Amino acid sequence: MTTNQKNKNLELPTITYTPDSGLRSPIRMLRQMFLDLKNARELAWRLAVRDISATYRQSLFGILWAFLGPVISALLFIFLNNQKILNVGKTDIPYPVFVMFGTLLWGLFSESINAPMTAVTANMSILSKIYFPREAIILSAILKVLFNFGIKLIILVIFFIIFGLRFTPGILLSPFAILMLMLMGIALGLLITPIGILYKDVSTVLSAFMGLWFYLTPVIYPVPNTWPMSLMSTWNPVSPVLVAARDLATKGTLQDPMLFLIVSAATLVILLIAWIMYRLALPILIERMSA
Amino acid sequence: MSSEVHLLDVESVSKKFCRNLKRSLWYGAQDLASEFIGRKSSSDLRPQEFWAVQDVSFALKRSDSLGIIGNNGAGKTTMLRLISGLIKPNLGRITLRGRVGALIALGAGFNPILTGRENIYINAAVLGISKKEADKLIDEIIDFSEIREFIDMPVQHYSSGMHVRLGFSVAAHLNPDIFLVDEVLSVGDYAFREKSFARMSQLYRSGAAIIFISHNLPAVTTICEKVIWMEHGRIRMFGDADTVIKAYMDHEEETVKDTIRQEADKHTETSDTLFNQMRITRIDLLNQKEEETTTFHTGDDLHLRIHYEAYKPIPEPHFVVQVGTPREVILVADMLKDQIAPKVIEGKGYVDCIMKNIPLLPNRYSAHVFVLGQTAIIKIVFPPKEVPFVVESNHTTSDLIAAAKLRPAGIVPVESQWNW
Repeated sequence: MTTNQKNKNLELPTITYTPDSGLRSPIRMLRQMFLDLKNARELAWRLAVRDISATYRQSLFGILWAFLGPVISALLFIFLNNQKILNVGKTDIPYPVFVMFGTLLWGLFSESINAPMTAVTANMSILSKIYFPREAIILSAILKVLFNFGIKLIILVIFFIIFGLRFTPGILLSPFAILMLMLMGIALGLLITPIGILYKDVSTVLSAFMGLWFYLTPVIYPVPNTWPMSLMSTWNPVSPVLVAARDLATKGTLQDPMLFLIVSAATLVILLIAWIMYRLALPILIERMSA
Repeated sequence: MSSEVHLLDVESVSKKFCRNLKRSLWYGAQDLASEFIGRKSSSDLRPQEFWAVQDVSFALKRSDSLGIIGNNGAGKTTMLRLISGLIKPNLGRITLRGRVGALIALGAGFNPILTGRENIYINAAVLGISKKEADKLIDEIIDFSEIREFIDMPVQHYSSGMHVRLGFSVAAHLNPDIFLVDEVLSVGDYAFREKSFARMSQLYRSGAAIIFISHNLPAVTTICEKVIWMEHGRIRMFGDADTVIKAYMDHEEETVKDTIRQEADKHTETSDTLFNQMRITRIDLLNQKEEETTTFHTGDDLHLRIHYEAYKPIPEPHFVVQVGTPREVILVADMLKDQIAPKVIEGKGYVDCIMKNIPLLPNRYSAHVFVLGQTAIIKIVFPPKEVPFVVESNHTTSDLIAAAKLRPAGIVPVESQWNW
């Protein structure tokens, strides 16, 4: 053996596969997780660019379609509200901006919660054939969610200008709340991914539940103060984050900073747990989902 | 050398699978639960489970090339997926040292709408080649694939051959320490396959360890030094490629023989094909002194003694011998063309075929023998029998090579003259 080869051998990275759960050596696992996350960035970016450019290359109006959904649903609620069919009470900011922002934020959350399961299903064939950092699939899903949201922000800016809202310093803090809202969706989505990949029942229940959850969250109406509706803001984790994002951007104030911080911290903890579960689950899912 | 590092250690690895989907999913859910509470999943078989891989151990060092052969469902692909870390073993332990490159799926991550060039970057990223490396390699990759004129066209308009070319070209530019290849080289045209094999042996010479899974036994013989024969998830035999492959082929032959016997018993004698009526039992390769050998030199006579067993009288059987590499037939001896044949054969016996002065350069070849019936309608004896052999260099060829100062290129030596 030449010296060169000997040196080559010394620095060889070593991987071991055993039947033991990764939880048996938590420190090594955590270190590996963040290493993989770092290594996954480039692939995640590539996959996101792939999916986004493939989507728009086969479309005539491309990005314009992204505006269609939120504009229609916002128009619908504005119409219902104007006709007094839907009575949401007084909002601090013009209702069109309120409802447009609300539905955009809800859209971000619901896209995020669906993203991990959709991404794993769509990429099952390469996941089951090639080993690469598994985080790449999730990171790329996050990038796509952010891209979609970013496009829609353009309409929001237009609404801001039309309705003459003032830009306050608080708007600089709202991206943090928006990010938290997305991470909450991703965390919950990751949490249900393992069982959701095995059993299709999960996505069926989820889509039904999301319809209900939408109305239990102050998206198209302001936070209610009267019992029992006020429970929504305390027992529904999405409320404080969604409301914080909207209030920070439109009014520059935060109603209940403490609650927001608690929910944010909890989100990050759940995200870490969900990430660990995702990693532990993937080999089992691949084994069961591909022959 | 005891200090030599093992790139791969597979120690008593077992993996169980379940045949029934509903149960398999339920077991999956159970496994998830035990994984999340940090418990080892049970090593006993649950109802309807079986061992897809059982107690398999082996090790690879630098420049080792290992073939894994066996029938479908023997556990070959499962073994590869365990090694590449896609699934976890139920028992045992796998240790890898170095960069792993797996050629299990070509063109992973390809998107049909995007161009070949864009897909090269995607595939490269999936395989772990960074953008920077890919930028440097892109021209090399496109040249290797030989489809430069189509490279900016969406891959959905590619032929399947072009698809494979592009996929392999990216994968071929990986620089792994451990290279796992699963049957992917069986697709694509001959010339390109030749190129792919060359790339594999280049990797192997530069110190990578290779695991090659294939049903293409001649290809395994060409690439691998050692072979594992797997059967029902276990290692049935491990050893030198030639020995194991011969044992495997003999075993297959036995199985086929049994089936043919049973079929022959069942069938009436009016059957008008040679199928079931006779078979080639063995082929001996002989040298000038009529001693058995598997090694010849360029320019030697290749003497095949074809042993047969005819279950009923066969009038005018036409024996055909084809000699070639896994990729092409080079020499043919054909009784039908030579317009000779034994009048009739019955029972056990043999036919000699001597190919004079075979003009083959040093390499591994194999001879393929089958029998056609008396009429123009082709009735082939099943299965065709195959025998591998090696041509080594002798004086004549080495002179030629020395003159050319090159490794022999091509199949047949030729004295060339250049003018300008």
